[in-house]
Formats: sequence, C-alpha cells, structure tokens
Amino acid sequence: MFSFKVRYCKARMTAFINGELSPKARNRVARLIDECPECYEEYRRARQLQGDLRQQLRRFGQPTSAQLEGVWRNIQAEMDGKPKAPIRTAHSWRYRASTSAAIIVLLASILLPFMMNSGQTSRASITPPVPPSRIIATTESPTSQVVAAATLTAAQTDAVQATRLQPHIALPVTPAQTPEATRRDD
Amino acid sequence: MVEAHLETTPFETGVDDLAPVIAACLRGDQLGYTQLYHHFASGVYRLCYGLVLDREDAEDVMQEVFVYAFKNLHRFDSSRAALKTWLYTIAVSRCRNTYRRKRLPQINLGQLFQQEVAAPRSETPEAAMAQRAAQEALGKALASLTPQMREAVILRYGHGLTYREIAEVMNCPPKTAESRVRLAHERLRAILQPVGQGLLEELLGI
Repeated sequence: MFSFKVRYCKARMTAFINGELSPKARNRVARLIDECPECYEEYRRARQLQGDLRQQLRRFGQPTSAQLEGVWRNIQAEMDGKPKAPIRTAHSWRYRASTSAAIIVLLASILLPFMMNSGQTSRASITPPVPPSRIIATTESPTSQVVAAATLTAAQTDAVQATRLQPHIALPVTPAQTPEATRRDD
Repeated sequence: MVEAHLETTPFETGVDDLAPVIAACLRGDQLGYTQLYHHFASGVYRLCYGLVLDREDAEDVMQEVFVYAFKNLHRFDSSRAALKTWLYTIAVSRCRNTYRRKRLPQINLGQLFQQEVAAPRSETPEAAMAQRAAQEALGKALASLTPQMREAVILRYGHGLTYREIAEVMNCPPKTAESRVRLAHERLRAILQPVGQGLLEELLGI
C-alpha cells in the first residue's frame, strides 16, 4: 500500500516531468523525490517512459521510400486530373459490389409495395353506378350531389327526402305594435 | 505535374525557408510541390499512421491531405500558422473522418501483457525482432487510447509540437491539449508499466 506522499507524488508525476505544475506543487514534488526513495523510483520510471515514448513514437509508422513514391505518383495523377490508381483492388471491388447490393435492396423496398398494391387500388376504384332515384335534388352542385348520394345509405336517403317533402306550416302573423293597437289593448 | 523521384536530396530547411518554396508553388512552379512533398511526406505519413493505425488508410489519408493542401495553398496564411501546423490540421481532420467511418478495433490489454519478448542488447536479428515487438506493443497501447488522447500524445512525443501548436491542430484550448497529453501519458504508463520494469523499458534496453 502506497503512503499518502507516494500517492501525491504519483498523481502529479506526469505533470511534473512535463513542467506543468504550479511552482508550489513543483517544489513539493521535487522535495518528495529527493527525500522518499519510492517517489524517486516513480520519478525514474516516469522519465524512462517519457524518453521511450519520445524515441518510439518518432520511429512509429516510419514509411518506406517505395510507399512515399507510390503516394506521390497518385498525388500527381490526381493533380493532373487523371483517375487515381487503384491502391486496393480487392477493397474497391468489394465496395462496388456492396454498394450495388444496397441500391438494389433500397429500390426493391421502395418499388415492391407499389407493385403489390397496384392490383388492390384498381379494384377499389371501380364503384357501382348510383341509381338516379337516390340522387337528392338539392341546390348543391351536381358533383356534390353525386358524391352524397353514393355515400348515403338507402335509409338515410329516404329520411332526408321525407324531411324535404314536409308541408309548409304557416305561422300566425304577429300584430304590428302600432300606437293605435296599443291604445286598443288598454 | 513534373515527374520527380524521391531519390533526390530531401529538402531539409527550416520553416522560414519554406516561404520561397510556397511562393514558387503559387506561381505554378512544379518543382515547388515536389520540394514541399519531400519536406513533409514522412511526418504526415507517420502522423496519419499513428492515428488510423492502418498502412493503407494512412496512405489514402496522406494522399488526400497533400492533394487538398496543394489545391488550397493560396488559402494558407503564414502569419496565422506554420505550414507544418496547417498540414497537420488537415491530416488530423482527415484521420478523424477515417476513424469515424471505420471504428478502430478495441485491444485486449491482457494479450499485450502476456507477450514475452526477449530484449537482447546488440544489433542482431533478435534485436530487430524485439524492436518490431516494441513497435507492435506501442501500436496496441495506442489503439487502446481514445482518439483525442492518441492525437495529443502523438503530436507531442512523436512530432515534438508545443502545446500551443497541438491546441491549434486539435482545435482546442492549450490547457485542454496539455491535459490530454498528461492523461494519455498516464494511461500509457498504466498499460505499459505493470510488466516488471515496464514493457517498453524492457524491450528497448537494446
């Protein structure tokens, strides 16, 4: 188990070796490194790792001259407007095949429902002719009459017709409120 | 473009000396492009490889980076950034697109620790093998980092960029760049050090 001092030192070691600590924290870590052997060991390892990382990362992924020349040829071709030389034939072939498959699936998913529903749609559009007796004689436009007649049931149509054929009921005329009439009432 | 071969002497000059080369490119001098490529190709490739961890992807990204940079060289403003930083910014952006498209495989760190590689102390075939193994181990450790941490640690230790430059390339504040490098360093320390004296230390004591 690490002591508090070692834990304190360890938590700040990377910042210490990168020179990112405040002067106060830096002095404290430096004093711990001087006084505590475990802290010194931690410091030594962190420095070693930093050195290794610098050394190794500078070599990491070093290209060969053949690679650089290949890329340069492609750059020249692209800058000249020539088609880019295929770098990965197998990959591009696979890419093209998978793209084509995706397009076919997409087209099928869009067109198939239309093709399957087209029969039902044409059947649904055929409606039996409406007998002329069902057409209500109203003042509405001829088109709305036909539509209304087609949608109403026979019973509804009869009820509507009965309402329209009711005799006109004359209401008694209210006497006019003239000054003579008012006096007569008194 | 002028046919040029990479066997020609690499154009090794300081960043300030690139101004006439850039001017030559902008005038349409094809040799300028060749010189720029010679100067930055290796660094850009190492950066791309370190980030995408795949040779073919790195080549593709590198090609995209240079084609984009050459076509947009007139947009480069030397008063705002160094050409290296500008190129690295393009490279990091293109690499991000690549690893967004193609998620990197997660590495089982247990496998990494079970590797037992000899660490010979001379330039022998065994030494070369140990060196390769160290690079592989480092690649696996890098793959276990988050993309942001990987970018930060590679730019810092692999390319020696300052925190201000890293912040510029990664489009974040310098303090964030600093903490990303620190976190990556600590993560790598946690991954690589449990093996005795430390895996890298052991492997690289050549």
